[in-house]
Amino acid sequence: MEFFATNLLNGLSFGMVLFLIASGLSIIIGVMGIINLSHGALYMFGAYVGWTVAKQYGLNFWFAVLSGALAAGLVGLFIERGFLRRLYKQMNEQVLLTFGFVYIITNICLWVWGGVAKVPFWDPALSGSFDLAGLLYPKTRIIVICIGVVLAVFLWWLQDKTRVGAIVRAGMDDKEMVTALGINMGRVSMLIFFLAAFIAGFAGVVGAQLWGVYTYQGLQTLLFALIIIIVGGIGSIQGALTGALLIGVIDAFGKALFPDLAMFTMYIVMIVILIVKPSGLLGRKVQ
Amino acid sequence: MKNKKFLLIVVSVILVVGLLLSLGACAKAPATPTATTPAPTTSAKPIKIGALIDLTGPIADMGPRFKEGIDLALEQLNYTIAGRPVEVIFEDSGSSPTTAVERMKKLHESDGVKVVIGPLMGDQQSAVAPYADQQKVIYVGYINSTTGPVADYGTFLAYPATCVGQQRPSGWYLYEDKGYRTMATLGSDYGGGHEYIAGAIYGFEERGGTVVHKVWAPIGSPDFSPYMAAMPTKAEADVLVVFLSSGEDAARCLLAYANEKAKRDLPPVFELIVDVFTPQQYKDLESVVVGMYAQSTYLPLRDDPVNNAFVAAFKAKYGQTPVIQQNAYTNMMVYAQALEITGGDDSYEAMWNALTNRDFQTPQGPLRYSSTGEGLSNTYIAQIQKIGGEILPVVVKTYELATKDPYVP
Repeated sequence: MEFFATNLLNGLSFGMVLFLIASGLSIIIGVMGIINLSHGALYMFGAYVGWTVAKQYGLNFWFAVLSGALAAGLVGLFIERGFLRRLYKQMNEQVLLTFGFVYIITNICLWVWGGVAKVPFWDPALSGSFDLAGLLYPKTRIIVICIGVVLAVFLWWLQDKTRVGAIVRAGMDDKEMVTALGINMGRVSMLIFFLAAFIAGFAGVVGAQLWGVYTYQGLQTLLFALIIIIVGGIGSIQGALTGALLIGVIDAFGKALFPDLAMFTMYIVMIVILIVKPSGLLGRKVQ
Repeated sequence: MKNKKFLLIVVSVILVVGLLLSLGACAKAPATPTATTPAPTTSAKPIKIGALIDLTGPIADMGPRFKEGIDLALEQLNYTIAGRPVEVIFEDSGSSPTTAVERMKKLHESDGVKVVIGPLMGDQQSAVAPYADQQKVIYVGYINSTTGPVADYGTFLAYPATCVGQQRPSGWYLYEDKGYRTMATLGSDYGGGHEYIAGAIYGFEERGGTVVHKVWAPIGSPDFSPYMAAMPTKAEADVLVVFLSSGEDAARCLLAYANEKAKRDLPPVFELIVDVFTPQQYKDLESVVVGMYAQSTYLPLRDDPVNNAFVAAFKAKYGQTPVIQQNAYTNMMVYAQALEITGGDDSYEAMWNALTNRDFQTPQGPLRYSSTGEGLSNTYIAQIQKIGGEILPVVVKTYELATKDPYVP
């Protein structure tokens, strides 16, 4: 029973980090039709900024989370306003541009913070374990699960229960019609991109509690995000959450029970979904 | 409207640049990969030495540290060997076998290099072996090597020993000194990882021990908790032998181990090649690593005149205690001594004759390369201790020149 409970929680916490990474990217692809390959690099940049604030300056961890999120958001804004908005509907150019930013951001991080990896760090108040009905489980991982749940609820509320969300959903389906109704989709796109980048940076510092920070995270987390989106479906917060938790739990149990297949557990899920339901578990069709 | 948008862009750029500059002012910038040009002493043709270091990819934290060691050696040599200026050309092998081969070819064919320090990883060493053997380019590993390049080719120096040879005494120690009889292992799933673990297992089993659980984790695994959840307890395995290829993998693994140990009585960890950790990483992992036993190729606290001089010089230059920087420093110094013997002749025949079957005294201890290039050196068993504010491995046992690989003739 303890083995099952431990791995379930391991899977949920790992899955929540994957959701934090993928949610922003899913929104950008769904709303703006842009495959922002620099999303993982924004995650990494936010994590490095958070490390600097929390470990180098010794400030409050949650202030570091906010700092990392804001820094990534501003970089995302710079990418969108300075470059991407000029490449409307030019998908190939968008992909190349954002992939170029992966290398730019990665090398900036390497230049500023060096090649030595930063070990996982967290709020000192979260050291130790919670006693969950006799099961001792690290506080950091429980907090990651809680943060993921709160973010998922917030994004669902924003998407489904607010006017802004309605505009975003309408824009996903028919951007031209929404524009014709007098809504400035350019401003909406800018805000969405900032929000997605903000979430990426936020995820970076929150995820650093488990993963630490290192210079190849940009590409590694991008790969994770794309897998989640493929499994969960594009443009769907519920899909991203479902996909992330599914992969997280399968990965955890897979590694524990079949460690020889550790390299493949994520990809097996993705392949099955692509065969059975190519649009993803809860995907929306992008116009 | 356009002005507002332009202003938004300008403000964003300024904020980002300002943020980066302020962070950069506080963070230490890594060494950049450039050719280290000596102060010219004569008009003689420079001796060119290549150095393959990983500055990008999963093991990017290692490259800058190796460069520190080489730079210190060059400084102490006054950038001169055998009366000729020496030039070290650094190339980024990118944590990739393919890139290592490309960079090796570039060093030899474009830069005219005949001796190379690196690459680090066993798969990179195996990848460059056929080319180096064909072109008679001598190259040396930074931290051990897989058996293949030594056994099957003739230009590779396995410093300070092969992976298997290096860890064989670890298996002896665990059986004879710690009294363990059963072992669980967790290793990085690549050539070097398999051979480090294989060496520890070889030594353990040849003394009578048994391996009860074996796990391989992909390099860069973000989460080790599932592996730890399935790890046998102390009732089933006396010791958990761990080798992971980078400090960040090892850090995540040990943190996951500590979390799981809070719930279940896991066996104690014995870490192979504890040198993957930097002094800062030791500090960040203090609660987990202090008291842990480990194998190390180099112990900075080892009291020896050659080592003491090296540590003092390194601390004076970089303000920190050296760890794996020693390996690159030693490789450079050994090459320098060989070139002094050959009078600056860096041809394969002259250098191989000068490097093999000869005793070198290094900060790590005595070093000798056999005719095949296999390194024979000391292996140290250490315990991680906190001494005067620093957390470092302290030697508890030395196996002298005991790194013979049973698979190398």
